[in-house]
Amino acid sequence: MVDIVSAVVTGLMIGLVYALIASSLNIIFGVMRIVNFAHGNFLILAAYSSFWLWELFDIDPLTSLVAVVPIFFVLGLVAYYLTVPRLLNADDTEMMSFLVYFGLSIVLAAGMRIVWGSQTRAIPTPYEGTLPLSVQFLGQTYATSRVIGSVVSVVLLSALVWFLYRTYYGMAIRALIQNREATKFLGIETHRVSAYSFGIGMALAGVAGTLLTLIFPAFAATGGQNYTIIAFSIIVMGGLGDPIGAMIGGVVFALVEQVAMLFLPLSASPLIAFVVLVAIIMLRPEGLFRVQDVRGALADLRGRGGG
Amino acid sequence: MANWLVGAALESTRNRVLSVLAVLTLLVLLIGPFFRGIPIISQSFLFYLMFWTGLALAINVVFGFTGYIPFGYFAFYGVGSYGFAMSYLHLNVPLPVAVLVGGAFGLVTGVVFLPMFRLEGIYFAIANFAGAYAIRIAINLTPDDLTGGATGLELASAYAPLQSYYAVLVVTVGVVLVTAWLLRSRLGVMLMAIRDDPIAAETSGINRGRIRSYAWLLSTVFAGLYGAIDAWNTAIVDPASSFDVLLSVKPLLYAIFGGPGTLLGPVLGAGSLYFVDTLIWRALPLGSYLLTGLVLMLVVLVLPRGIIGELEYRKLSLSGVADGLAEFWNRVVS
Repeated sequence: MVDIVSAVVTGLMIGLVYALIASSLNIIFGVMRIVNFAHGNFLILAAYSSFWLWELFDIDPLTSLVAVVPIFFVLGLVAYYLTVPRLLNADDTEMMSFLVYFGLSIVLAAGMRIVWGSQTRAIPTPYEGTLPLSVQFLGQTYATSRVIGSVVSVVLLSALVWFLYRTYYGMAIRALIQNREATKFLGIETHRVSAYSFGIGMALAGVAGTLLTLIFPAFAATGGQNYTIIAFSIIVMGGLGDPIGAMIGGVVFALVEQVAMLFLPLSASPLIAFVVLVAIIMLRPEGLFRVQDVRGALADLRGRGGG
Repeated sequence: MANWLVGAALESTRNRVLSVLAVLTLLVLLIGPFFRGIPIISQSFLFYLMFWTGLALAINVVFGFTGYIPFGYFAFYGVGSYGFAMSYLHLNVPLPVAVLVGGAFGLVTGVVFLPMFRLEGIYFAIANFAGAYAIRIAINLTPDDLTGGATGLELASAYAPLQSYYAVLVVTVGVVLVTAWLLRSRLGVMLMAIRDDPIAAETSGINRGRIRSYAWLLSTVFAGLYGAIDAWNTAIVDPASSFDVLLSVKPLLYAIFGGPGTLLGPVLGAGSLYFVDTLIWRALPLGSYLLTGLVLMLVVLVLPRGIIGELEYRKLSLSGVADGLAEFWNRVVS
């Protein structure tokens, strides 16, 4: 019982960061239909950035965000202008972008291994001295840095929701997700909004990567692919191209993962993401059709009743 | 079979030239292990040249002929390796039979993956990849005395480079023949019809699901065979290297680079890129990953039709190129 409480709280804290990762991926996918398979590698790149800022200049992860966010925003704009215009003209944007970004993910993973080696890195207790090492909650102990990471995630997720629903560019991004063609008639500059959304997605990935150093004890150059798969599992679960669905999906996914880990051996935990992903992808199309069938049948009934 | 082959080979000038080249290549490869003292072209270079060419052609059967991207292709190679190693170690079957067991493992895993063909495009690619990765993690968790768990199995007593060399030669000739047959047969035409226009193909009475699964299973059998032969050649299997994602990416890249849906494309793509890859690998082992990723990005962005596809698109056949060169020569000389 105590274990389950602790698993749920941990799952909630990790889930908030997952929500950030998945919603940033989903903005990129939703707006441009670009399958950013290098998303996890960008997270690791951000984690490295924070790690080196800490190691070389004693800058703590939260302060390092000041540098990481603009860098990743610009990185997103560069990636956009180098690849996306060509990909949007391709016959099958999703497949072609999948191949291109898979290539990029290999390049990033290998590059980081060549430059920084394959050992695991960590930022151990960056707030030691200023804050207590652990926090008591419901009779359980949790690491302070993990709590800080999840609190920052909540702030950012709220800011993202506000941005998407209350600002011009946020609403333009949602419009592009809903119907890309129609936005051109509304006088929205699709290319500029797409470029910004890629930049914002990458900036959020930068934040999430930095928070990963607080949430998880260590990271390695090759760990990106696992996060990519987790992020894709979540956005498939929450609906492709739906940032809010991805937020809910992220929390649910982490809760399932943490509770399942109580009953499974530790090395089996990555298996959960893959099994969940395959199961949802395999079952969802049918489920969707069933809902449509029901709706169609209801409409038929109503039509016949009215006529 | 023999009649059909001779008929196809002698059909046109292009086919005649290509068959002569193929026979010459085959002769070189047959006496390949007895070359001595030539720098890069060692027995292991020729082995992996055939290995990658064969895998590129095998993945092309699915990717080129049906348009689906089998991103979890490494799973079939992996289970093939494990089928070979386990049947050899635990059941003591003769090595060639163990290779066939590897192919059978590939086939069975392919059948397990069949329901994924309900999915389209990116869903298929991601599900395929995730399923394959799940197999890799699951093998880590199996009992040590069966699969060796996370450390893998050692097959030192099976090590026989000359035998595995000829095994890979036989299987590669098989893939080449199968691809040549697909390009001319009813099955191949149906596959290409489904790829180009699924709805039109279905209204013409093609059973989309069944035809596609034939291509898929054909492709997975070959992946299993290659996995088994590579395990024979290296005499070791372990989860990390038997389920390496590069085993999906490289054949796919070679096929795209050369021109998917053709016979010559994957062969040219694998030949040229593998050669470059070997040179890079000597200088910087991790560079192989870096280069593969970089070339994949560039090829898809700049040359999405592949070399052969681009030539065909620009209405340049190989003979057209020769004509153009002759004309250029005449102009320069006169």
